[in-house]
Amino acid sequence: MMISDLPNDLESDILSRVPAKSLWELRTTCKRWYALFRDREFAEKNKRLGESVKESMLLSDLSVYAIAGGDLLQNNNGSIEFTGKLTNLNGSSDLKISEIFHCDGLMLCSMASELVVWNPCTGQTRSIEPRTSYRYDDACALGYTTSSSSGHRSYKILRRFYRQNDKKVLGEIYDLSSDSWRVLDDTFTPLGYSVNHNGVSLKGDAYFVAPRGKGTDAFLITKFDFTTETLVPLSLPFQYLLTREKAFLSVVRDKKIALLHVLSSGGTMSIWVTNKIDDEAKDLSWGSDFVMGIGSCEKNMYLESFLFDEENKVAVLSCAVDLPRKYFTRIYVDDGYLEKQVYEGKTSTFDWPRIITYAPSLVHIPKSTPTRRQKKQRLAIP
Amino acid sequence: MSKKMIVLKSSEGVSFVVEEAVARQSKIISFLVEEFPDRELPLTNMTSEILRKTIEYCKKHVVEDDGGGDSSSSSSGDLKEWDVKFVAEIDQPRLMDLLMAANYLDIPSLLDVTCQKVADTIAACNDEKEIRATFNIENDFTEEEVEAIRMENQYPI
Repeated sequence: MMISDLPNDLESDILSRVPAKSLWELRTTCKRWYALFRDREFAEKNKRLGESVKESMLLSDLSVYAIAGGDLLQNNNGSIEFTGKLTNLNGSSDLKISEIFHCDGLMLCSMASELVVWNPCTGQTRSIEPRTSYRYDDACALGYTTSSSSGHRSYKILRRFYRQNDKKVLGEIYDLSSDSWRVLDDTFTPLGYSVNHNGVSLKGDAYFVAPRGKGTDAFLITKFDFTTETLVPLSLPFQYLLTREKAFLSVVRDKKIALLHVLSSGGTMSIWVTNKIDDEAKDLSWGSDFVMGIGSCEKNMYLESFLFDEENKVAVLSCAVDLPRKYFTRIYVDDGYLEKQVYEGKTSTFDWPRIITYAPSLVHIPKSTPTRRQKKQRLAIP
Repeated sequence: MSKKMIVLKSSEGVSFVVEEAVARQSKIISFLVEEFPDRELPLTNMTSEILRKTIEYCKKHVVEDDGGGDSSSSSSGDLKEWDVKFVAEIDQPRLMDLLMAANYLDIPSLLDVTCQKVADTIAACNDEKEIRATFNIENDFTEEEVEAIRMENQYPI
């Protein structure tokens, strides 16, 4: 009895249990496997049944590094080491990634005038053509809608951008299956620079901290629902976020939202975690908070992203350090009592380092399909 | 009261006498003993070795219902440990036969542990050469095709 003698569904059941990264490394075993690993149904089955072996990456100094040891929240005892650096994503070797937004194993990478969707497990990329142009201060998020009949996910990009002539923040949606941008009717509140304005993705929707309205100091959490394409205001765990305070979001075990609250005075930080977010919930319900260790907010140190292990009450934080004529990225592990620096790297400019832990996935980015009109135009050109 | 027994016959014609409760973990056998009064079931596609292994598994997992709710001989933690040891001791070709037996007889828990063991073995392989050797898979790619596939998605990390 050989594995190729198994009935097809049994073979696919077995293979779907194997972590995505291992499968992809074995894709050239035989043609049948190669076809199977690229199949949409199989990729989704693998996401459900496959052993979830997480990977971590760091965005620092406009580059992306793969971190050794998988899940940063599980393996953070020693110092951080890299297993690789992404050197090319768009065909040019001068890669400068300013922001990464993670959703469902896919990374939306923002560069100065480019936007690329990247699957770090399979190495597949797709460049997204702008409707007009991209700006350095855009806020982009990747999300998806789920078809009620097939259960398939369609990936979409939300781009919030500032329109100079009427000083409004607008939103536009890019649909990866139909290759088109569409401007939304809704206007957005200002992008909010004292917070990470790109936010996080949970169950296909984007969550970000945003000012409550133009000209107010009050912030709240906003969800962009990719299915209804509407903005849903959600409450903070406390009443106000003051101007000098900061707030960052993170996702806990793909089920909950965590908020890191940095108070302006004395450098105190707390992490709040919501209860499990179900599809019916109208608002966020917050659990108790967790006060972080000491001294995290030294002068010249700027937090940018964090990961939180609710069970063991351990946080991993990335921050930028601004010293005279020198800039650094640092990563700390904080268990509420002690804070340990696990990484320091020099950067060429002041930037916003981001740590991401994700489950690699075989999800295939739909290829762009030229529309009929574009095809015609292309044919018309001699 | 004596326990009901049934006879399972392997492809070599060897008879195994097992308690009905043990054999009924197979949904197929469970159905057959209810439908047909016959107490002897020929399993022509299973060798004695594989049938013996399957019965060993079912004996360990049978929940005896004569002593009340908690009469299962082992706790679930112990059982899990036992399962891991059970599949670890079987070599690759026999594991595939056992997996097929679990599939044929419809024993969901045995199918689950054997599938997981095969999946773990696949995940532990370092490259396609190792996996082809372990599972006896024929390489139907040419070198050029492999090269083209490796060039396809250039940016993994």
